[in-house]
Parts: sequence; C-alpha cells; structure tokens
Amino acid sequence: MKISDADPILNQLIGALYQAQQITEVDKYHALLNRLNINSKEELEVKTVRISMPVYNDDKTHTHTLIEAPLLSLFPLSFLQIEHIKLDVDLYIEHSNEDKPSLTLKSKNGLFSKNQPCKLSINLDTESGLSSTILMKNE
Amino acid sequence: MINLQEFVQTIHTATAAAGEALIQKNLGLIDQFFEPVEEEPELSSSGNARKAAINARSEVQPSKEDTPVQVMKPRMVAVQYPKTTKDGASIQTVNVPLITLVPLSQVELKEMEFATELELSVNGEDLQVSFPKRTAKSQDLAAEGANLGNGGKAKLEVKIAAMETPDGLRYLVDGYERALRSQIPG
Repeated sequence: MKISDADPILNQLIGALYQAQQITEVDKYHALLNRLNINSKEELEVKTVRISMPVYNDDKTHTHTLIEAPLLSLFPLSFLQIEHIKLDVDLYIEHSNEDKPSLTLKSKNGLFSKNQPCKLSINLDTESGLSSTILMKNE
Repeated sequence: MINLQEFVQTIHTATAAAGEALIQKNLGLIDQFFEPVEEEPELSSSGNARKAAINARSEVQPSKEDTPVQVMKPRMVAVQYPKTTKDGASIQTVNVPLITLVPLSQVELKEMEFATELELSVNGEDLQVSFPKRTAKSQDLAAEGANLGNGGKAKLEVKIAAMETPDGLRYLVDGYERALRSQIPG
C-alpha cells in the first residue's frame, strides 16, 4: 500500500517539522550574531579583557605588561542546533477511496469501518535528511 | 494547545538559554582568578608601547561609547620558602598566581535530548499539540491502547547538539590567539 506524497496529513506533519527546524536555524544565527556583537556592517572590534601580567626580569626587578585577551579565544564556543527531530504519530489509514488511501487522525472503530490503525514515523536529520515510514498495527 | 513549531522553538530556546548560562559561568573564571587594578600599574616598555598604540588608535577612530576598559591583574598568593645563605637562614617570598595552582574546568553544553508524549490535532493549517491528561483512568486506558481526546497520540523526540565551529570563525579565533601569544612575555 502506498500513501501519496501529497497526502494532506503527511504534508502537514512534514511541513511543521521543517518549519520548526527553520525557525531554530534563524535563532541559531541570531545567537551567533549576538555573541559576536555584530548587528551592522560597521567596523567591529572584538570584546576583550585587559590583564596586567607581572614580568620578573633578569635583574630581579619586577614590572607589569598589559595583555589584551579576546574573549573569543579564552572560552569554548558552542552553537546549538537541532540535529534530529523524530515524530511518531498514531494515525488511521482511511480507505474511502479504494485507489487512494489517505491518512487521518480520526478513529472510526466499528464493524464496518475500513480505517486501519498505523504508526507514522517522520525523521528529520541534519545529516541523513528526511525519511518517513508507516507501520500497520495488527488489531 | 500550542502550535508544533512554537513548541519545538521553545525547546530550542530553553536549551540555548542553558548553554548561554554555562558560557556566563565560564566568564566568571575571570573574576575568580583576576581582580581589577585600582591604579594603572607601572608598565614595561612593551606595555607602554602597546598602550600608546591603543591610545593612538582611539584618537583616529574615537569609539562611540568611550568607556574605560577595566584592567585586571591575577590574584596571587605569597608563598614563603626557607633558604640558606652565607649569612644564615632566611625567607624568600614567591608570588604565585592562583590560576597556575588550580585545575581549570570549563563546561559547555554538547548535547540535549528531549522526548515527550503529546496529543496532536489539526486546526485549519496549524498542527497543534497538547500534553495528554495524566489521570489514573486515562493512564489505564492508554496502557490498553485506547486513543483519548480528539487528536492522535504522538511522541516527539528532539536532539539538540553543538555544531562544529564554522571555518571562518575558527580562522578568526586563530588570528586572535596568535595576537594573544605575541603579547605574552618570555
């Protein structure tokens, strides 16, 4: 049995997951820009901390030198992204049109019901892309 | 009921906030091992040259917010060593920066996995989710496989992980690290 790629429920679920990931992509770049303090095309200066470092000279004298350390190089940088989203949904396959079964959220249990329960799994992964599988449930 | 996209975005935002909190914790290391210099220390010749260069640059390109940058100095502990000289026993004081005595641990969020059971329903073009009711009866019915409510039962898993630092940013950081190394005396 094949569910059409144009199935409304399938499309809605995949679309929602894609959009969710896209929104977080935008979040990710905002976080990057905020971290680097970039908000325009102006010339930028990195955020630094100035440290007075003691220097012990050969002649036993003691002086200080000023070090300007960029925060970017002092701490680990980690930018978080959604690597994987998986959605498992209990659905029904509706056979109202014999040639074109479709997915529905609605249960129509009963003696004459042709709706078959199934589990739809949608995986959206940054490396392996999109995959979806339907497993029929035995009643 | 909440839109599925908004729900996933909330998970991402919360994770990012947790990551940001850890970054702030790391930044706290500066205050832990360094303290503000109250008066400008006597600078070495290279330090003077550097300060002059910074001042010169400020004159060419005055910053919009001309706030003085706080200079920090390492927190030190003085350790007294006994030593023997030709005049007899004496004490030598050695000043040790605390940062060289304590192992540094910096934490960062590498991976977060979130999984929850949801109830899904379609509202026009929107896919909405809600948390299933957790009454004892509903749990019994769910265990028997009953589908409660108007929507389908769903399980959402989201894995958020730290991405590799992009090459451009890595080169930028490398450049700053070289600049930092060139300032360190000795």
